[in-house]
Amino acid sequence: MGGSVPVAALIVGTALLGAFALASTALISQTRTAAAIEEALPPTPDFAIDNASANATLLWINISNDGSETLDLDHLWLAEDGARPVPLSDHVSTSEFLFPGETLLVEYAHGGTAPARVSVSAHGVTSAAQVV
Amino acid sequence: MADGGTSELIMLVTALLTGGIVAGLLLTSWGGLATAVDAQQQQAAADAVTRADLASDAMAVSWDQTNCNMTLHLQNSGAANLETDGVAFIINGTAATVNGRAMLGASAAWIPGEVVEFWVCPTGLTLNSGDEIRINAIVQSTPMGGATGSHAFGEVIRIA
Repeated sequence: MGGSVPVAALIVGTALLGAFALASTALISQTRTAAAIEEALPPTPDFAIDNASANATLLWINISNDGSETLDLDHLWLAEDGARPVPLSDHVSTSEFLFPGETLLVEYAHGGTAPARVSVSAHGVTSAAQVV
Repeated sequence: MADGGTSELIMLVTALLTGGIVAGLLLTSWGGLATAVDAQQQQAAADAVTRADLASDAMAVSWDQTNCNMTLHLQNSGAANLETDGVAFIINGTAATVNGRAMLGASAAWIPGEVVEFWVCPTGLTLNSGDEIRINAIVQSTPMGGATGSHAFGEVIRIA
């Protein structure tokens, strides 16, 4: 009788340590996951088309990065009058990025008929302007 | 003495059995809890990096009533790759059929930043130029770590 109680207590105690270890592992895993989620999503961009104008052959669009994140021109999509969008990088050869505070002049031939409206979208943000 | 030894042995065996059962129950229940928490975390992580948004001008969405074809452009604005054939649309409250899709960028996979064009038919819906309607889209990520992320968003659009 004298030896049975300590043996049982040892078994239960070991089990409790095991349960504590499992709980600690779950907590650590949860903390890591929360940190990974915060780092994974790209920040919301903040940009705007300042103005857009056209003549018989060319279209000019001034677009500014008003946020604090550098924008990849491959991720900025330009649409004319709701038509199929194209990456802004298709019309820009001088740079691949739009840096915070920078204003980029996009210039390209519109193919004869200037659009009435242009829009640029990226990551849930859209800026649009009438072409004058 | 012999009786005392027998009773001690019985108590020892009983204690071992009880201790073993309690230990097994504790470890099983906590193990199950840890597994459930882990699965939930994987799902939460997958959902958090799965995101898409409208990439074209919401004020001028192309619609062909005769051929029941609405053209919508979705950008992968999350951090996970998305399944191009895992997208569903609800247009003005009507479930729509996806009749086709095309990647607009250079990538073969729908990676973050890329835009996919969808040709969608909201069966039975009559729309006219200038109509302002609500579209909802649901996207799915490719499987990652045993979980598939999903994201739903809604936008009001105007028919061109």
